[in-house]
Amino acid sequence: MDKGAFLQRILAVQDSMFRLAKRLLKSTEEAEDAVQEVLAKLWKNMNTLTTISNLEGYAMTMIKNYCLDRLKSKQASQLQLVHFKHDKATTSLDQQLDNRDSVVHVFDFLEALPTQQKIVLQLRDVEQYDFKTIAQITECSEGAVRVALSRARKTIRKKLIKAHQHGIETGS
Amino acid sequence: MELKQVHKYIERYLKGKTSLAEEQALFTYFSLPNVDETVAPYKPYFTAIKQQRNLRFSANFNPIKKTRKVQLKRFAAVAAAVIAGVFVFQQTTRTPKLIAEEIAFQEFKTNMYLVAEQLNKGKQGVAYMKTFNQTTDKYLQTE
Repeated sequence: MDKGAFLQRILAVQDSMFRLAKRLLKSTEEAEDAVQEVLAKLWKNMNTLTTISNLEGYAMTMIKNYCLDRLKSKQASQLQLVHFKHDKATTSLDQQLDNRDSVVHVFDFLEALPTQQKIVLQLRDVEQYDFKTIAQITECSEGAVRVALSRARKTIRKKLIKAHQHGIETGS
Repeated sequence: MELKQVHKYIERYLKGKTSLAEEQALFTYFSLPNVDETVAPYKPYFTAIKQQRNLRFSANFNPIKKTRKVQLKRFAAVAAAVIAGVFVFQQTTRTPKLIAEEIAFQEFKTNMYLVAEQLNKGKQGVAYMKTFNQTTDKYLQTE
């Protein structure tokens, strides 16, 4: 594989890699470092990459494993999640504020999920991969992916409804 | 999309049975400013996920230059090896100059011991004289 083709294919996947890394490692700096490391590794082994049919999936698996290793080694200094602005809708200001708060809480809900569910939900809802690709990235069966996804969505649903009815309980 | 359809999709969505197209339809529905009260709790979730999709990798990947962390690790490893090497080298092979210096120090030490020995002899003599004076003072007191 020549350098141009490599960069083109990698540029297409680096945002997805970064988002997954950020979901797992929380801090932007950690996530950026992780992506850099994995990209450097891929770059080094560029010549052997021609044998891999799904480079995108391969890169995603690498970043996933790299992040899990980082989490395991507990070197990751987990910084607070930085909230970003909710896009402006045409609803009233109060409702917008309310929305923004709930959106911020969604990230806490995502954070509380078990790692595997976190990964699967991220790959499906954010990256919109099909089940076959997700199974490949997570190195488990499609059935297991569906189960994890369903569990994650149901957990989130429970918390969303609770938050909607009673407001947020901290630490839950 | 009709509300009935939204409910149906959400149910399937929670079971993990929706197709990507159906999920996209849900995202489109929830991006509307006002959604039906019955599905309102789900809106923050779809909004949050949509925000996630816009997240970009801002640091530029430069394949020519190795990442900083790798370089640092490598440097640390080399430094540690050099320090350890020097330490071992010093432990095993002493230079002739060092040996000469050590011999000189040992000689100086024995010489000082000899001097101290002589000094102690003198001190003993002084102590003897002191006792002698005390006894003589006793007799010479009543003069």
